[in-house]
Amino acid sequence: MNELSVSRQDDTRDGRKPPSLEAVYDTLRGIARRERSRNPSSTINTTVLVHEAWLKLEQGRGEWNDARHCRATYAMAIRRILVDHARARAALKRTQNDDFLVFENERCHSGTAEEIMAVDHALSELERVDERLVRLVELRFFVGLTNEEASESLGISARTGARDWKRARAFLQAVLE
Amino acid sequence: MRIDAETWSRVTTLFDRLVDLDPETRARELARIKVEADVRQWLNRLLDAHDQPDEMVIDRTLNGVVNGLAETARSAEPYPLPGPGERLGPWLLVAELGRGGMGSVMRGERADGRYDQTVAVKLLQPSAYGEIDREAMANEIRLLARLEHPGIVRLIEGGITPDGLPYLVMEHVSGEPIDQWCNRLNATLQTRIALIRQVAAALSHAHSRLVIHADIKPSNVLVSDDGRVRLVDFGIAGRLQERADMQLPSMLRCSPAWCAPEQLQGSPPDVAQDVFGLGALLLRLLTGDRVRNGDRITRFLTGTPLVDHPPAPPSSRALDGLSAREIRGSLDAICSAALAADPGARFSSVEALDSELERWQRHEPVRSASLGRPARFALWFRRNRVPALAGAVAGLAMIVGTSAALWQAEQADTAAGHARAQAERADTIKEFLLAMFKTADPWLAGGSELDIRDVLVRGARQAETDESLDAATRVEVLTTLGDVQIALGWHDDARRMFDQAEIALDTHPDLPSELRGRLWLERAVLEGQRNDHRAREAALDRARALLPPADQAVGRTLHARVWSQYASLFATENRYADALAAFERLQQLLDAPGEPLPDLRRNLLSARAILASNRGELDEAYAAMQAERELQIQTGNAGHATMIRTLSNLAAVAAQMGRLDEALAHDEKAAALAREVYPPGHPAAARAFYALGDTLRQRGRYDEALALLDEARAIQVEAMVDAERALTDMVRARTMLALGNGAGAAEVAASARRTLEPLWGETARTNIQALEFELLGHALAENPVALERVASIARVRLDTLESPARWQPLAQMLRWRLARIRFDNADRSSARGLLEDAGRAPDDVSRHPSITLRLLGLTALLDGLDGNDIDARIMAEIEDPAANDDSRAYALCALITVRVGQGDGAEDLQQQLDAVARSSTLSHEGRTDATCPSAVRLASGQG
Repeated sequence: MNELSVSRQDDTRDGRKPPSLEAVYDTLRGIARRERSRNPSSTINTTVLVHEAWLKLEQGRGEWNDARHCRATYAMAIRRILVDHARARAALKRTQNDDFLVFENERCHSGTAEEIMAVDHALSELERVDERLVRLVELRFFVGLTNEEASESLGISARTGARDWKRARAFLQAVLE
Repeated sequence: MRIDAETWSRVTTLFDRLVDLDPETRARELARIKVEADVRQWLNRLLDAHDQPDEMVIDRTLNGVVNGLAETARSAEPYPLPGPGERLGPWLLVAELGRGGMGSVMRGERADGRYDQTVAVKLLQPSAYGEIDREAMANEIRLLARLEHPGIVRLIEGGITPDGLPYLVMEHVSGEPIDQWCNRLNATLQTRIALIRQVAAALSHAHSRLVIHADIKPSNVLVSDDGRVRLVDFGIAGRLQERADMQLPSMLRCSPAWCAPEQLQGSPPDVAQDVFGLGALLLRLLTGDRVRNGDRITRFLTGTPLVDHPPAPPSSRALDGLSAREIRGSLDAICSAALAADPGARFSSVEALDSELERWQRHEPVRSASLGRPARFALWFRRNRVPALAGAVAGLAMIVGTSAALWQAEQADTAAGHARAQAERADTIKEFLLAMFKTADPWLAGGSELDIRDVLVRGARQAETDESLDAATRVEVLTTLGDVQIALGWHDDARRMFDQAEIALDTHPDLPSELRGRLWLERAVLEGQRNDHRAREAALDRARALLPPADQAVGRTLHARVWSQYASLFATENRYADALAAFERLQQLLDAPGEPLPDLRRNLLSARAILASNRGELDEAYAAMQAERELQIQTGNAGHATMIRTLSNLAAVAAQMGRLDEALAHDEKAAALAREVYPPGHPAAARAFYALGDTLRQRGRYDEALALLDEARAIQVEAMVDAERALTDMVRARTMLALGNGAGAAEVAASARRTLEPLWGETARTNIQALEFELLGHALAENPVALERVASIARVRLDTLESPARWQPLAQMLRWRLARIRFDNADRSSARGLLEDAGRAPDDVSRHPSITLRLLGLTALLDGLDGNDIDARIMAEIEDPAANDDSRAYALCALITVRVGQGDGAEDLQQQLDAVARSSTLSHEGRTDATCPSAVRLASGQG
């Protein structure tokens, strides 16, 4: 009998539990803090940040490409953190998310924090009726994945993802006007 | 205003349906549908929101937004472009090659190391452009990526990163700007002219694909080590820059030292600009001068009126080492004509300039007559009646090998494809299309982006409304435009174009029926591209009835094309008698005097080969395909595209014969060639991967197979070639079955069947096979409800099949599968009934040893071995190299089970079975059979 190599189809095969949202928050913050202390004026890149957090938490078990179902959790976490930070900026308060000096970037338009908050509010509305669209927006906008990557994370085809994106965009545009 | 889930669901379903319709159709649909007020209100809100042209914050990524990409015009600081060591999609940036105000160029490699490819990645500064229409840019890039010419540095891909940075990936070419190269090597006059002619050839290719360079200057014309000219940077940077704020005079959209004067005023790209560019290069190589010096440029920038004095003739300022005498006269005249300030006074095409240079090379006098005014659209039509469809756009052919490996015979037999061989002849249609660019029409002058698709559609509208056109010409123009659209892959546009042509025909009943015949021929080609066999045949039938007699030249060609299409169609559908008749007719036409028609000859060979392989006459098929390959090599017509298809076909037949090593070699070659030749995302490359994936599957390399098949599928989904995607799904399903993933396989096979049944009919072979996959899949997944549902469909299908299709191997396989399932569920009588059905196959029908083995094995289990010669027959079939190991395992296990059940020994058989069990090409089912659980149960007394 010859050895079978593992099928690529089945990505829930080792029954790995995704990390909790709390764990992800902590990890993301930790990374941002370290980055800030090393390089005070560095610009943030959420895609890289999420990838590093994943590496840390999953400790390299399996391939990033296979951990499709976990990515949505990270996207949610990033969104929460950044929105929280935006809110704080708008109110000129300090929070535990200050290491994410996202909006302090000189190139960042001054109204961006408010824009992000508005987007977040609209997403919360959308989440009541269509959760998948919101996850998609998180993955594409907050984390910076392409349509293909985001669709894969959600277990849908790229075509469905593109269609969903149109819907999400239209909703947000309609609501944010 | 809040929305609830149910309303949302209804709104979005309607939204999907309406969002991509054109305004008129959408308005009509909106008026038609009946919905509640709040649904309608939300629907309108969403549609209006979608129509807004402005970019939204979420159109970039957060990274992009916070790094100022949303405020492009205002950010004065250069954006930190990605640098060495960073990734950009599938590419890894390695080193910086150059940097300018507009952006930087990096050398890159493939990040996954999958194969060796060095590229040049051009990254553009966000401040260099304004808002970009992403879809339009993607379309443009796709079109530019189709430029394939030795003189053009290929654009591999391009796009916008999720963060919002535009980038271009091109072939990396080490070369030197043409002027530096000439100076460094002290090139002779002859060499310089020869190089300019190379540039002209490359531009001609681009123009035939309706692409203008618009930025020709020495730094964009490189000469590589082997002395070959390579053009870079086809207009994309220019196009992007056009979007920049037109009110800022400092934002020049071209290189002021080199560009045509009208470009400085903001004219959109035009052939005349490239003619000027060639002239500018020529001037540089002859005199070392630029078209405009610094003083003129300053005058432009400061708004001082610009007067273009005619430059002094090159011979009066020739470079040292070049003979003024040889330049004087002809080359002076050519230069001055190319550099005329009025675009209308220049050469009308780069080919015209090139032929003048050729005359100079041959010491013939140049013709001043070729320096004419370009024809206006209508004027041109009055003078030149659009000729027969053969002779259409040269070089515009996309030689698309339709569908994968075995199932179809020929390339896109469009008139455009046909005309590829006639490139030397007057390209009247090409000129017509280019003439559309040249007319000073309001819609062109607006500075809008040159969208080729748009040009074609508007050209049609123009053809319709131009009153100076006679009806016959109008019909021919529309038909030809449709033909071009097929070649470029815009099937819906083509269909609409043909519909318009038909309307024109209907309103003028006195037009010759031949025009309608040609139209139907083109429709048939379109349906062929869509793999809709039934529609294709219907169209061909209509075309045939309307054509002029075949005894004249034009008639002969048209009839030959029709019969070539029939030949491919019948061969693919395995309609033996029809196919033979078509072959004979086509051969007659080809043998009659007239044009050689080499493409049709090749199609005939392909069709023969496909028919032979579909009938199981594998040796014949293989021989015919080898012959086709030889012919291709001989005629030097190794348009690699067609070689890829031939290799894939060879591989498929070899695999059927059990010659798996050969198959693998051919497929690997084909796939490698496809990666080389086609840009990523091209459906033809997907076909090659599909073929290789299937061969790997047959070798038992399932994971590699799946990886490749997934890649192919992704391309096919993106390119929206549904039939091909379905075929890929079939192989994926089969591979999943091999891995034991029954549920997945059943779903994928069902999806494939859903796509193909409307196109190919419910009883087409592939759809029969899909049913078999679904049955096995549901059986593996232990899903009896789904199993029964598919089983009843299968029975109905099998009953509707008529001879000889009724006894084809795949139909027999389906019968066997049903029978096995029944037998395994202890329903012996149903199993027996099915086997009896199978046994009614006439003797002359083709058989495959794998299926014979399975049928015999099951018969043995049902009837035992006494009084028949089943075991001898099984042992004979096992020896056939074309039998697969799965079927061997099944048959041997059946024999062993019967022997053990009778209390007889089975040592010899067991040994054989053990040998098969060690095979690496067993599927999940095969491996189970190889352990022969039925015999084990019997032996341990469980019966």
